[in-house]
Amino acid sequence: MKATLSYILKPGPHRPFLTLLLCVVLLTILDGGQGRFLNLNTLRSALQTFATLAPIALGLGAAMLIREFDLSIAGLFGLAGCVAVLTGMDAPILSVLAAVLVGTVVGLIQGVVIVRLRLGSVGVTLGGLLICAGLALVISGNRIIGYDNMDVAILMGERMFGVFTLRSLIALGCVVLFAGAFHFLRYGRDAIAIGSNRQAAAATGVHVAAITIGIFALSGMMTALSGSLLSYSLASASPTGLSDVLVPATAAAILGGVSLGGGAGGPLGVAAGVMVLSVLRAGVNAIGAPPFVNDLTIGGVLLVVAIIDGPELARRLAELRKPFARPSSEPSIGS
Amino acid sequence: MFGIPSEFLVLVVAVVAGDVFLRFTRHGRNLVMTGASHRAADAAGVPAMRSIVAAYALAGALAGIAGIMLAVRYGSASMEYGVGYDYNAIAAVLVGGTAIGGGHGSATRTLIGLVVISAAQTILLLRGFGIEWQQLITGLIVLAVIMLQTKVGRK
Repeated sequence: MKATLSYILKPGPHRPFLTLLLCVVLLTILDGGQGRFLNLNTLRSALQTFATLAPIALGLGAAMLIREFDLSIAGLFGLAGCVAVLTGMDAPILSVLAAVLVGTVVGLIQGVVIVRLRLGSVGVTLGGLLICAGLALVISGNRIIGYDNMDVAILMGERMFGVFTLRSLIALGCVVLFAGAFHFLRYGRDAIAIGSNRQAAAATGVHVAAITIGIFALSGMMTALSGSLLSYSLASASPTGLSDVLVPATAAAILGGVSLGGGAGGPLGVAAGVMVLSVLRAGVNAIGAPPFVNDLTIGGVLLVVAIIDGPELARRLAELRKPFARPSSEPSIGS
Repeated sequence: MFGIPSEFLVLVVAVVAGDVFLRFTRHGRNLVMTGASHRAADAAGVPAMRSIVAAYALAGALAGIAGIMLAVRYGSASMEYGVGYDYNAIAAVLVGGTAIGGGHGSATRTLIGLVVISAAQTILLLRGFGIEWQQLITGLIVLAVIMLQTKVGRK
């Protein structure tokens, strides 16, 4: 029993999948045999959330893997939707490509600035976030823009192979591509080397600058892809309303075993992490709980995983107990 | 009070208290040192863990005060009121020149960053540019300030 428990608690590549399994079991128990959770509708609904979140989480996960962070996705997501909808009346595929190009260029610029000027990625991508969000507001005139090409919107909503849609198939394709590049090419090992120790990686001949710039470009590309496809499927684009993807994507990457300290994680784990969020969201709705329960559950799961993931949990707990246990210790707040 | 909004007085008190705390109290110095080097702080006997817990508690308390002021101003409360303040707050701290890696910064610096950003946004508004341009300009200011800082640091 103790061995199983420590295996479950131990961070590793299997953990995201165990979290997913635990969530499914938990929701099935909460459902109480009424069949509201375990059915195809829940899976369909979960896959729609997965389709939006997975590409973004993959890109952000890659950035976190090399110990950087990409805040700009929150702005880029809305911007890509606006670009795709504003240009895409007649040639939807071309305008998705245009939006993806915008995302890639934004990512490239940020990557070059971070690498060449040796700046922290949080500050640079915060600038990128505000600029992208501002651009989206400017080109849309601070309005929600409707998309009149209903054929495309209907095509986006069409079911394929029972549970999939075009968007979720594209998202799954992204997962496969990322996993392939991560496991079978040298990019995965290079990225982990950079995240673990940048100087050491550079010394062993890893192209640190090129890979860092490439990952930021990739992150922008994935965000723009997801943003433009979501706007098509909703038949509208909003410069502000759709921007709430940064927090779920970060949560998914962390649940997927990507450490904020860099150097640990992989695309399959991130995909499982996204699925945990998607299943929780769909499941909590399916069993008829009020919407805010969704945020509470996700927050709770994330907190537990973050605490368990802390390196040397036992040692830290002991350390924490030390200063607080002393009866003479004075409060350190509000002096 | 003398024609000054009470929210402004709260801001002044917070800035003064923040700088007195950071500069002249033991806990404030501990906090700065923890940010400069966690391990060195540990080695010097500074309770780094306690400083970190205190920093998060302070951040929460100050955000709570801001929330109360918003609720008072609007005479109601909603989850949506805080939206947009989050990124602008980080931007103000960065424009003020507090190092994102930690160990360097002050409340006055953040106040200056705040003044720069809100002045830019207000001027834009008075010149007839819409709300939508404000964010764009804020982003450009943040990026410009950050890029300037690296040049200063490298000479």
